[in-house]
Amino acid sequence: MVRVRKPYVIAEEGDHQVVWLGLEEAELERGVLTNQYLVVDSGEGLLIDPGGSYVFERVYRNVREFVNPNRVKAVFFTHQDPDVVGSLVMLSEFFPNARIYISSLWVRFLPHLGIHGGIEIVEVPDEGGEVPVGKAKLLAIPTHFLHSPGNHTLYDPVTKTLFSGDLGAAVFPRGVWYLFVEDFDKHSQYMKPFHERYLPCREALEAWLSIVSDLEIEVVAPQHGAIFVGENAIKFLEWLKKLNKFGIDRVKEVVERWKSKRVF
Amino acid sequence: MIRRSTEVYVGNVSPDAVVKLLSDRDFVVENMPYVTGVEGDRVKLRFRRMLFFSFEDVYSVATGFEEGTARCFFRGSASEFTMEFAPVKRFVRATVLYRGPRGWVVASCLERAARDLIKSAIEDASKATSGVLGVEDYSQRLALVSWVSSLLMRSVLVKSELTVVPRGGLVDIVEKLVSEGVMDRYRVVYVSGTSERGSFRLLFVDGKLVGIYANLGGKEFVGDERVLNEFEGFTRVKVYGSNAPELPR
Repeated sequence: MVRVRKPYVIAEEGDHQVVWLGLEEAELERGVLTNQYLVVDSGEGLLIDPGGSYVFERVYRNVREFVNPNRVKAVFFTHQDPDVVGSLVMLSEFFPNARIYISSLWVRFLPHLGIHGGIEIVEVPDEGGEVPVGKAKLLAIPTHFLHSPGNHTLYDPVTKTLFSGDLGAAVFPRGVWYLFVEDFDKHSQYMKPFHERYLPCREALEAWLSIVSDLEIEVVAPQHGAIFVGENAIKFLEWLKKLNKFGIDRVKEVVERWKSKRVF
Repeated sequence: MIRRSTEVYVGNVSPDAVVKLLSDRDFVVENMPYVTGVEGDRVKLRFRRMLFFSFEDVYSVATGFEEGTARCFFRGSASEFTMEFAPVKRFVRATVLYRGPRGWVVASCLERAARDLIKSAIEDASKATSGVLGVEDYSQRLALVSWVSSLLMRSVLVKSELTVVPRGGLVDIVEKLVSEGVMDRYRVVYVSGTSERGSFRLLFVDGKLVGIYANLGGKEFVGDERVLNEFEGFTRVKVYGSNAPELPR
């Protein structure tokens, strides 16, 4: 099992930093390791997809290396999966001054994580919006149905980093992990099965691509897998454009398989 | 060959226990800063100094323990280094030897890495000590993020209030908060508070206060209820309840 308990600064501009917060693999993840990120600006912190309860202690310890937990002003959830929102009750306790940003679609489900109120929730509308931290303003970009119906990716204009949620996710073979993509063609083989199964349809993907193609992107930081920097970030977006036969296209095959195996 | 030395104070933890941990290969690999890749038993390290200068290599890692000293050997294709950790009174001393290119980038990173490794070992050794002693004192447990996290996993946030605490008035405020529809509903009640002065954590079981922890200006207070009188001003107080049959171990 791969465990990296120490953080790594992946982008920096003056007193603005983007920090990857380490990882630990669990057997049931089957190679889909999760990334958590921290953006620090002018002494304030923004946590992105902080993960479930079993990674929380490491996330908290690493955040403290960069910013006082009381100065973490925002937590941004790209979507509602348990490996994104699972530690909500701990976040409310250890980052007491953080606002929680999440798609308006998912707010009604938060009580099931042990929160009956008492935290400040910012419902991110479908069309997205701004997420302030320190003097910076990050942009929540509509990414609906990729893969969640209420989904936003987050763009940091200071370092030109795009936090892409499940887009760019990769499943590593056992015993292999790397933080930065170096061989894109090889890495794309680790991404393909995930994208073919989790992304729904070309319309949703093209809607998102039409927004991000207007942005200057230097880094793509997904919630699973490895980080794309420079030329590899561009290659990743090009790869998405060419992705074919995924999501709904696969449903027909599944139905055919079910029919062919039907014995009752 | 570049040589650097540094020392870290271990506090109440046994320096021998810290050094022993630093001879464990898995512990060293997991806690080593600058790791950007793992493949089988080799790790890739990317050292960075300021924004622009970096050096990376892929290393095989081996560790050993002899005469009270832990040794870690990192052998790469273009560089190699060793880290030695030895107890010296209440300190652990690290000595780093580096051979390879860009020594002016790597050496200062390795000095920092050695300090980070010792700090991680102190933290883990300290946890292990609490476990060995079988401490039943909930005040000490409230000091551990891992234990509080486990407690919260089986709790719900019942109340959260921003309140102005007069000097010496915190206990009255907490008493009022937990008595209104909380104590009669939940067997276990956890209360925490944060203000500009610091933070506190309280644990009630079956209506009785069983644990107190506070951090005031960076100083920790365990089991000392007098410290609650030091809190004043704007304070965010949160109340969590749990009916889980057992507290976390």
